[in-house]
Amino acid sequence: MIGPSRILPKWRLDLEDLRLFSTCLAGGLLLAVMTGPEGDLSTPLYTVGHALFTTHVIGFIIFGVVLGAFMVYNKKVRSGILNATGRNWIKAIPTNVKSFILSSGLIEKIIIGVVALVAALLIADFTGPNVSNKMSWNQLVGQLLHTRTYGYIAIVFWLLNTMRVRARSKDEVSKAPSFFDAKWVKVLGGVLAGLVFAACADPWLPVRFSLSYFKWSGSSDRDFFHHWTTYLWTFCGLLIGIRAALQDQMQRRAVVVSRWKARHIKVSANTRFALYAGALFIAVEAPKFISPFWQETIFQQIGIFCLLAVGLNVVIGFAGLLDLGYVAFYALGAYTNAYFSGALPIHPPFTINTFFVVPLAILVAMLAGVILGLPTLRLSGDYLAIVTLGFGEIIYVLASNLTNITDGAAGTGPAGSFSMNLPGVHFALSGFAIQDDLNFYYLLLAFIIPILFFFNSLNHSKVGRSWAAIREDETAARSLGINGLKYKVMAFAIGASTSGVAGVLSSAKLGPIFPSDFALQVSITVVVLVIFGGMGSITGVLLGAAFIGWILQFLIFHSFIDYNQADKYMYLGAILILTMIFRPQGMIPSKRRMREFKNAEADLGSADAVGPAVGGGLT
Amino acid sequence: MSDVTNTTTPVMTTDNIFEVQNVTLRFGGVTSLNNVSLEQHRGEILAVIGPNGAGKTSLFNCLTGVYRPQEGIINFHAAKHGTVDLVGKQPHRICHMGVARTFQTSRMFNALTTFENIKIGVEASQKSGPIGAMLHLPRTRREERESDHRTLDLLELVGLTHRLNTMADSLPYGDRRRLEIARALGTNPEVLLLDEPAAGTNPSEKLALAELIRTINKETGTSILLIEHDMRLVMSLAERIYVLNFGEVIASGQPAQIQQNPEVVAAYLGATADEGDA
Amino acid sequence: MASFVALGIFTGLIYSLVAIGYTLVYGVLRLINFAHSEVLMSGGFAGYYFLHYTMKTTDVSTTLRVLILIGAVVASGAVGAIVAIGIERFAYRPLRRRNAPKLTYLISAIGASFFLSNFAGKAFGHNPSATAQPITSNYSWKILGAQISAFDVVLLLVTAVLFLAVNTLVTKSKVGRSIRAVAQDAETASLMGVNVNSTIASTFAIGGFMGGVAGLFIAMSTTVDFNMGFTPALLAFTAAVLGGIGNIRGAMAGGVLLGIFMYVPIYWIHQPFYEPVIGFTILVLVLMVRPTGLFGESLGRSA
Repeated sequence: MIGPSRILPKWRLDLEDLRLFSTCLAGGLLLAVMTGPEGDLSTPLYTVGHALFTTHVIGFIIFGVVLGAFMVYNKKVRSGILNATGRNWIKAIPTNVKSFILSSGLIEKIIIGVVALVAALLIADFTGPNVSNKMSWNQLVGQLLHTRTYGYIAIVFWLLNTMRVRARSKDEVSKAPSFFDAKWVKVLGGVLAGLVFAACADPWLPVRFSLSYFKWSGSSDRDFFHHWTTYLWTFCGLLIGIRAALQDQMQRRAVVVSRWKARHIKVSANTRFALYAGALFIAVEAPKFISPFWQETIFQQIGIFCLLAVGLNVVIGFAGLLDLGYVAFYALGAYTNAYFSGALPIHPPFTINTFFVVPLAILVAMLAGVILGLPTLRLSGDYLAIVTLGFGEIIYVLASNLTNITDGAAGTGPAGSFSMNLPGVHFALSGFAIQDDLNFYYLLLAFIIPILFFFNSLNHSKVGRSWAAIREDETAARSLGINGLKYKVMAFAIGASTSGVAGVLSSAKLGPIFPSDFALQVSITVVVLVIFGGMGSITGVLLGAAFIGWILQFLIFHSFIDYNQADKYMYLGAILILTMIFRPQGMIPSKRRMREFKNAEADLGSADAVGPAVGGGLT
Repeated sequence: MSDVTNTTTPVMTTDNIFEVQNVTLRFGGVTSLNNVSLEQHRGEILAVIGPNGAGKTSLFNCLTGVYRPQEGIINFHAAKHGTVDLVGKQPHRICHMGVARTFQTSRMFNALTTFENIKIGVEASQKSGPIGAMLHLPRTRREERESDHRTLDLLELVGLTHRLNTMADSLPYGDRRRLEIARALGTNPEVLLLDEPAAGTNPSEKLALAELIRTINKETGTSILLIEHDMRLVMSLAERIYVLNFGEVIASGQPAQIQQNPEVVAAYLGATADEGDA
Repeated sequence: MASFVALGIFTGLIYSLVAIGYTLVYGVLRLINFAHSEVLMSGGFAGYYFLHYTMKTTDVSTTLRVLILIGAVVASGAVGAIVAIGIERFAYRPLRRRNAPKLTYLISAIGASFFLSNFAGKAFGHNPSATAQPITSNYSWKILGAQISAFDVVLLLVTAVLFLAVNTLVTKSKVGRSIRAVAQDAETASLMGVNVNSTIASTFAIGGFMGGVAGLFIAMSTTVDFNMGFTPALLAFTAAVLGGIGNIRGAMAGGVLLGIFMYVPIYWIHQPFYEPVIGFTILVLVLMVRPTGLFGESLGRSA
């Protein structure tokens, strides 16, 4: 790979190189222990030795040596001691895929389209039920003919098309309207798209339609879902159509207003809306078809992770505070549910349906948030971090030890589950079948989607702007009439309330509640989701939750290293440090937050509401 | 009650808007303000001058609640709320009463656009809260619309409409100062405290700034309290001047009187060297 | 009652040792070092291994016991210091170099803490284990109705020596002067020729040494465990706040006071698991009523 260097290098390894090399080697050894078998205190020092003398050590020592050598080499190259023209090939690869797509010509677009199509087919295939079998040609054809595939194809084309629209709207706005710009065509197209989706979701839709099947008479839960998804997609299509038809008028109205609004409406309304609808489509439809591994991952891990992460994002991302005891509010929600369903040793005056426990849990969690936040948030924000850390621990200790209230470590009786029995709508969570998981998933979705909408609106409202102002410069914000304490407590309480909702939901799913569900580790895991994904960015946080959720599940099922459940916290801790050092804004950052971090590092304002800067900043 | 131009007419019997009486502020053993008294008439452009470290910014910080003076009274005769003693009030409460300020080193919200910066000031006094924002309630939408319009008006007033969507950190320095004034004006103040608004601007920007301050004063009737180093600007703008030195008021009066006051000249001659390298 | 007060005082001494680490770092960096709990833990493990290899039999002469004990104190202190320096080097210094906002420090710190404790769990196993005892439990005295064991006396001695040493170090020595200079104003200090990086590292080292020794005593009085640092560290932070964070003598007094405040109520309610609950309540009360602590802040900046 590395081309011949023209100038002979003058190698002289100095102390700095040695340090770099030994750091890399130490890193290799560290990884060897991290991925090796678990140690045992009763045979001291056996532990590290044991890890080192398994096959891991060879791999990781080689890794350490190679990495060290590369780092030293790289340093020489960058400081100009070595001349390596061969490295230039890296620069030839375009890094920004989006600009690559937008700047490409028709031929390239077709190629991209074909590639995307193949990718879609492959995804369709690998998520299919036969994932574990070796794929035969017949199966591939079978997959191709499966209706689900068309759903993916449609989505890919739709996205490509909206991308094209987006590119066009910048350059050719002034062009004369074509047939496709007519309102009725747009509405009709939208409705048709919706019907196509609906058909993908339910292959027999045309048949049912002809049999006037459209009535609420589901004999089982599964039928119920088929009904409502059919309606949902048709409705979505209608909305898309109307949206597209009205876009011109919206553009005209959005003359100025804020940057966000202008961008939102003018440029990418279609793209965004299409992405939202596409994401919703995938979120609703995909879990029915994907492989059992993914079903388990999504139902048991990612779903509740998303809810928790979106809530904590309000505290960390929006308000710039750190809450390390987030799971305490989760516990409060869960125990509120247990209390009102009579699962605790202390009995409520009356039991209530779990759906009505949700608002109560929100209240309880918010109240706890205010009680905890009000005295603490008057002080520098790092006190909040440690007080919440303490609070999380206290809730855990109390839940474990107050046996006559919480049943202690043995766990409560089964907490109330969600059930609804209205004319035409029967919904219940019971048992442990996959169908039950699916029901739970849709329930979760029904909570998450409005919350996403609410928090997104919040972030782009007066409240969100005030948070941004407080993060950047609290003195200036206060001088403009923003009550800093009020907004911080508000963020803290709103975050807490989401955690309370998550507590009710997960307790309804789990049944008995154990204090160990609320250990500190869970709080930190949620922090990792937010930090890794990108604080302040709802998309980032969701994808972060999905990614971490997947990794954790993946490590259990595909253990290529000596992995046990407790090890995940070690990896999560490492993720936190590495993210802070190399990419504090997270993987998919919010633009505003990213700018703040950049400015704060250049001494222009701050990027959090934690308090005065850390001293000793000079090196 | 869309008071877009904010033409508040004085309704109080007294014509003073600020009465600072015997304010003393100490940090540990250092006395930053010593027995300072001053008064500002309603609708007046009043300047506070003095050498570096004379306590001018400390005075502003006392007026806006950032610092709490150990002694003294700061009476603010608000048209809206009647007479209030500002000592010990929280900065945001003081802002809501009608005292707005800018900062010596401009403190913009750098990751926000020009538009958003001003809008933050405008909407801080609005009533709608998080629930309205989450649910897009009608009142929130109406208030958003109102503050959008007011923000646009302010942008026009300070001549930054073309910079609407620029991030604050990429604005040139002169524009940042104007933006800060607009942001403070957004809170609908009865008195506007400007802390060295012309610092770091070039002569032509200074002229434009003086014009802007005069316009604000004349068109909206806002009283203006000004700290400034540039003597020419102060003399051309201010109706009356207070001179601070070592935390004490050493002189006050019309610009012409101040220029001839020997004590002031002495204080300033001692300080010109400092200003030279500032 | 008296024995509970004694218990409080002697447990409090351990908290004091840890609290000094918090207070020093807070004084210099204005930062709560969340990873300090893992300094405790590593000190505990170092002590465990040291004693494991030196105390092969229980039949050891008194002189040798004293030597072993001193060795254990030095070993765990040194490991604590090394871990603390490592935390500073890898979790904080890259951020300081970038002038990162405070939130990132807190997150990096909690990440470091989490990583270290769970790494110890991986490397040394998740099961707690008892430490070999160099201090015989044969001797005990009754003072004012309280039972004082040899362990308590040793703890008191070690703590007193360490506290005097730290106090002298910070107030009298050159390192101490640089520490106080950096605490006051890092920028000016660096202009005056103080090496800010090494000063901060030595601050961490001093705090780490104390934390490591505290870890040793916790290991000897209970067990070693990958998670052993968490609760004592939380309580020690409370002690630091109680004494006025940034104030070394305050941290010392805060630890002992916290011990007493915590164990006297436990005497009344007979529920030992309430220890952290009471400690946390004290923390919130102090933050509400007097956030500068009983003795106010010092070590440079005021308030």
